Amino acid sequence: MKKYILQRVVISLVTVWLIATCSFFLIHALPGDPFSTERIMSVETKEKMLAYYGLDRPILEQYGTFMKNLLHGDFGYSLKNPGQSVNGIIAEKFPVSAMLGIMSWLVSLPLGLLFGILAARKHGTAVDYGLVAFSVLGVSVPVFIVASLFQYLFAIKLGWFPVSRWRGWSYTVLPVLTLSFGSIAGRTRSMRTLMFEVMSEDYVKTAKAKGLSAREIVWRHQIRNAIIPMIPTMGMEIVGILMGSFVVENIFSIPGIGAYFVTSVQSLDYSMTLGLTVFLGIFVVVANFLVDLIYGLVDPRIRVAK
Amino acid sequence: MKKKLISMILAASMSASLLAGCSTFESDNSSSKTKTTKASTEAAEDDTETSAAKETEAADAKESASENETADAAGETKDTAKAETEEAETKTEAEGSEATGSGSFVWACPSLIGMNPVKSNSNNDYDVYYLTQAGLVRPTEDGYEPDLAERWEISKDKLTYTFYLRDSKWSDGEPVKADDFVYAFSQYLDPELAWINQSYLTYIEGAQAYASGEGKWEDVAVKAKDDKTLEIKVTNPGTDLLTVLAFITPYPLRQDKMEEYGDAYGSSVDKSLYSGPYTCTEWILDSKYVLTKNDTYWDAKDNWQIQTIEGMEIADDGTKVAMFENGEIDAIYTIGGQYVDQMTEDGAAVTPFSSNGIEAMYFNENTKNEAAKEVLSNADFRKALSYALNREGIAQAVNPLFHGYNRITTEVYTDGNGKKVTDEYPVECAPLAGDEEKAKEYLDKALKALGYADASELPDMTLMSYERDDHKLMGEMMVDAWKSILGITSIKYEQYPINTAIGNFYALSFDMFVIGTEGGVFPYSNAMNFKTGGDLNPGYWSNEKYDSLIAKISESTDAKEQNDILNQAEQLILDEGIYCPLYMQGQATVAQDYVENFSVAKKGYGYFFKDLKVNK
Repeated sequence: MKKYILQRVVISLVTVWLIATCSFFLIHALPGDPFSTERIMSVETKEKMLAYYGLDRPILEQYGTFMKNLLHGDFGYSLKNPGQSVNGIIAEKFPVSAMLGIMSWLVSLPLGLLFGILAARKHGTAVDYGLVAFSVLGVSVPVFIVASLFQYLFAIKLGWFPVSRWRGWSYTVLPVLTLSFGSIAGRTRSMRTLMFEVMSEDYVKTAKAKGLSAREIVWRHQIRNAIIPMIPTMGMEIVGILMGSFVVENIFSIPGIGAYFVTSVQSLDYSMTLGLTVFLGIFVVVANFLVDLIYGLVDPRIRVAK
Repeated sequence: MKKKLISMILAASMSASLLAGCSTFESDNSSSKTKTTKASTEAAEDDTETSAAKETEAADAKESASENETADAAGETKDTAKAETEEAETKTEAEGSEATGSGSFVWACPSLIGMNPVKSNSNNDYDVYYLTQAGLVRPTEDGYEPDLAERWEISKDKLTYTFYLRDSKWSDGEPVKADDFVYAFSQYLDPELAWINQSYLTYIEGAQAYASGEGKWEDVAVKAKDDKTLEIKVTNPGTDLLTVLAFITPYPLRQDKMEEYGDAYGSSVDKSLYSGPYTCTEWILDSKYVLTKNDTYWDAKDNWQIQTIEGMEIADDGTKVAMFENGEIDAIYTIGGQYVDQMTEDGAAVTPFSSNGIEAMYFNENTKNEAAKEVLSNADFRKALSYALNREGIAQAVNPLFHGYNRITTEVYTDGNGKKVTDEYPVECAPLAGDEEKAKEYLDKALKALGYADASELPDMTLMSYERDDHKLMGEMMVDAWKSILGITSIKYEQYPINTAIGNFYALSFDMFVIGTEGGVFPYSNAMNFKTGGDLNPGYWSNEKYDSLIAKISESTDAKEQNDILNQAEQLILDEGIYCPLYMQGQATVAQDYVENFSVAKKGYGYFFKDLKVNK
């Protein structure tokens, strides 16, 4: 086990290094520079600004500086917002997105599982068909439509919730509902399918023969086995949710980190983009690592195989 | 057992993170908050229902609270009005003050990039600086008025301006000195700091040399005669320095604080100093900022009645409109064209205005597309393309707030007699609705000169621009017009993300490019961009006659003479067809009907809130 963990840690570090390096060269390969914007400036001014930020140095020198600072955890200053450190922006905005993401995950996980189990148990009834239809709808409808719809219906027309911003618990309801909508739908579908697979297993027949009630069978045996294939996907899901949904944050004016993923690349804000990419990369690597560990813990068969 | 333990730990950590997450709510989540000077902090729930209770509480906390709903009582805020309470932000969100008139103003506005005037690379920030800073003069709707300079004298030869400063204080209590202005100019013109608006100050003697790295700071004619007297010399007696200072105001800067904070100056509320009618008491990057009235400002007693201005940066237009109609915000800075009709129907006071910039197409005589080089260098071909366009139709289709334009000088400039420069100096150019006949004539001439039998034989050419809402439709409409009217099928439209596209523009990797310019300080400012080596001419065209006319304008000492020469230059470039103006962008502000005197700058920058009143 120890050897396994050590191996994984080394691989993770190498992965993060690879991510940082590839991102660096990719973003610098894009034509243009951060100061070529709609605001026209003279070529001299632009050159002076590039020199000020060290962007006129040879690319390998810039890479060396970037790597050196990376080892200290220093991503430098945003080029778009002068004076704001990348770490500072991430530290300020990420918790908001994380909170939004975690709340959505906590809502969508049990609900999705519940609906999936329900659909599987009531297979063939109206409930099942209804839930399947709901899940197809939920997965197909784009987020911005759901967001605008919820905002219009529940905030503007009915006035039950505030229209936008992130000022208190009542402000979290609509964004969380929007963000979890798609996940609930997707999870319903996959849980339903997984439950079917499990239902025909031998141990279920044994349990029934033993005389266990339907509920006991579901809770003690079926769910645990059905969930296992879902665990690896949960790892990536968390990452996606934590990184903030650009659309939801945009429409509900939530001061999260989502927007920066898009705008930093569009405006060629090198330091911000690289900071975010490495941050996200570390998250993915850690999340996958944890998921693999949990997977091994949860399913003894994997442990034995290792 | 192990599993149970693990699941318990997971559950516990998740709930813990949620509780920790409470602190992400907006009122508490501000790394840029200043410390409160009075212990009025409270873990307030940001609920508007409890704002009434907080109002009475704040009335007690008069001394330190600078964001007070009961604005009449709050007249006596302390000098260092940077103190703030945590409830402040809910208060500004809640109903306005009980008294009519003064109080708070909440609106949807563009984002604030930074509070360091030297480093800021967005001039929209100057709109906010208008409220938090004060310079020598202050721009107004039609000109300028004295600000920190109480009065000034202009020498007989019109080269020396002497400003006499009034007594005024920075937000930390220090007096504003002439040295602060001198230091500021040294930063604005510093060749290494590369302030993006350096070109505006090159009218000052020695400035051009210093900014390009060839001169010395000592030779720049900005000197403090004493603590309250500042002397600036210009190179050309025909320049009205005051107009220049009112366009992009060079605000004074405090050397000690800028050196203390270095790069971090202006990155948060407490790392900045303010000299204007408001101080910034709260700022959440890309989310919102709160400005509080500074009662030590010289003009604070009779004007600037609003106590708190809260600027919300709302990304989505639909959300802005929804909040406006819900009564949560008092005004909106810009809304998209598609909402103008809807809001007007709903009875909102929508004020459209044209921005002082012209969107135009440029032809590249030095394109890397060898086959098209000759064609693009033919003036008749260029004019054919220009005359075939129905500018007004395209503009309106792209955005109902835009309107077609066909000149190089915008209509905001007036000459010495108050008459519009564009009226006094007409030019011959493509009519706004286009002229199909003339276009075909020009095309025939061009085809003959170039040796093509028919328009369909022309080589492939690309019209390029950058990603922006209006550009795609505009590009498609232009290509379509050329196809249907002139029979040219070989032109296509391409667009790229802005930094890439502009990179191509400066690398001369384009055939035809659409980009906008902003009208500058003087009527001839835009025309100067196109001389050889000008800011907007990376090398797609060079014309000696045009260059000499531009040079003559710079040397001229008389405004009328400048306008005469400008007229010639304008006619020349339009005859050459290298610069093909298309349309002017427009915007619209919307204000609730209980808001009076809501006005923003149409030329230059500023939120003109001196007489703003909110009667809730």
